[in-house]
Amino acid sequence: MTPALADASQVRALRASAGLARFDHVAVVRVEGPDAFAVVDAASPSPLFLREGQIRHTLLLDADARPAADLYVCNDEEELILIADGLSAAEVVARLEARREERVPGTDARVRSLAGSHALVGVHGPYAWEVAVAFLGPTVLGMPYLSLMRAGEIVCLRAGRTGEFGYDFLVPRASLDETERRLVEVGAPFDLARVDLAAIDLCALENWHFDIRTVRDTPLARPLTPLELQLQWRVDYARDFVGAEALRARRAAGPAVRATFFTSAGPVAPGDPISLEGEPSGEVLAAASSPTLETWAGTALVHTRLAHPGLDFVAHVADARVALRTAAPPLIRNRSLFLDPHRHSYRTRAEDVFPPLVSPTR
Amino acid sequence: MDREAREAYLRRREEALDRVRRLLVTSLELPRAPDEIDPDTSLFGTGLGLDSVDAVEIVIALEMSFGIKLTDPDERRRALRSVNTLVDVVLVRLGEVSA
Repeated sequence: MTPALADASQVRALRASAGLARFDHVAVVRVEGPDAFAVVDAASPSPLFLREGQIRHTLLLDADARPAADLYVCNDEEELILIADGLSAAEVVARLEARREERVPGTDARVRSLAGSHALVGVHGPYAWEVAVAFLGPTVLGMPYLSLMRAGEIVCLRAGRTGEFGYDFLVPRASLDETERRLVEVGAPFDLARVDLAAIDLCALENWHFDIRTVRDTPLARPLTPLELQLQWRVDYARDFVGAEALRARRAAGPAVRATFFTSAGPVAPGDPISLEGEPSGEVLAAASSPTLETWAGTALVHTRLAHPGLDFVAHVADARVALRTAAPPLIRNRSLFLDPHRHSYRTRAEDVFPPLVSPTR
Repeated sequence: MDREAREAYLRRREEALDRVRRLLVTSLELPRAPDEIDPDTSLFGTGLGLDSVDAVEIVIALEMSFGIKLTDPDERRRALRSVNTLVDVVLVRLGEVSA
């Protein structure tokens, strides 16, 4: 499943109404006990500073500083819930246990996979908040981005990678079908559409959200670290974490390339080399046709000196050449940025006035 | 853009990026070195995770450092999405690139 395989109608639903997705690809792990925080903090490249009800976005890195998992850490009262993309739950548990043994041995915390007992579904889109309110009640309206709330056996997470409102629901696996049935029912007045992971990934690509699976699945000459991927905000160089030494060395040497957003005049694919006036300048990391931008868009690894918006490159695609222009993302003016739940609704969307979805300055 | 114009643009872009990074670190008292702030990092939500008070600080700092007033709400919203969108506004408003 890649963004390039996304169904355009599903992407449009995510941009205009709401989409219902099942997130079978993520790993869910629970860490509980008096030292739960110490165990997770020891594995995180950034300090967690996590109050109750808050979610923190971090990473798990390999020893060579390559991201292994894109990680949400959720503080749910007396326990931490970890939602990881990129590793299985068993792998996350193994990494946490190894780190505990190395850094905080003897701590009192239980780390266990919820793979068999829980599942994650989500509603995303500019009107996802209306679906969430119909599902769980008006309390969800007060949830800030990156926060969580319990509603009985459901844990609701306000998060997401589409640039739109997003609510994920962690539910016992036994309740999954009933949860989805209920979401479909309450979502009908808002044209809630079933969407798959490819559609979510394409929205993430359009909005410049990190996709761990793109990095993992693309053959690369050398590992990419948070430095090349523009993820330094998830790292504190002063901390001790797996991959810290390699990352500090990479920083001292200076990164050779930087992930850079682009639009292109036609199809390009991961691995396609790019050049500027005949000089090799990098390669495409990810790309897809964007129904929202109505052009091809993606991320390229561009030689650092040239990794700025507004430059015109050429991508070499088999025997053809495709014009490619770098840009400052996101080019999408997400409807969710302009929606006020107190003034707007899906019912009145035809009368409500919003700016165009795409920035006129692109 | 010919080679000479491109090199001049890259120089101006790097200079503006450096100034914006320093402005963010100083005005928001971020516990980071300027080079740790990646150009396409979001200012709000994920990324630097700033809030509405920080937004006011940035608007004030832009005026103090660059003489740039972001009075138009639409322009302000666009400018405050990422470090690079701030740099775009700085370059355009200082007349160093066309809008």
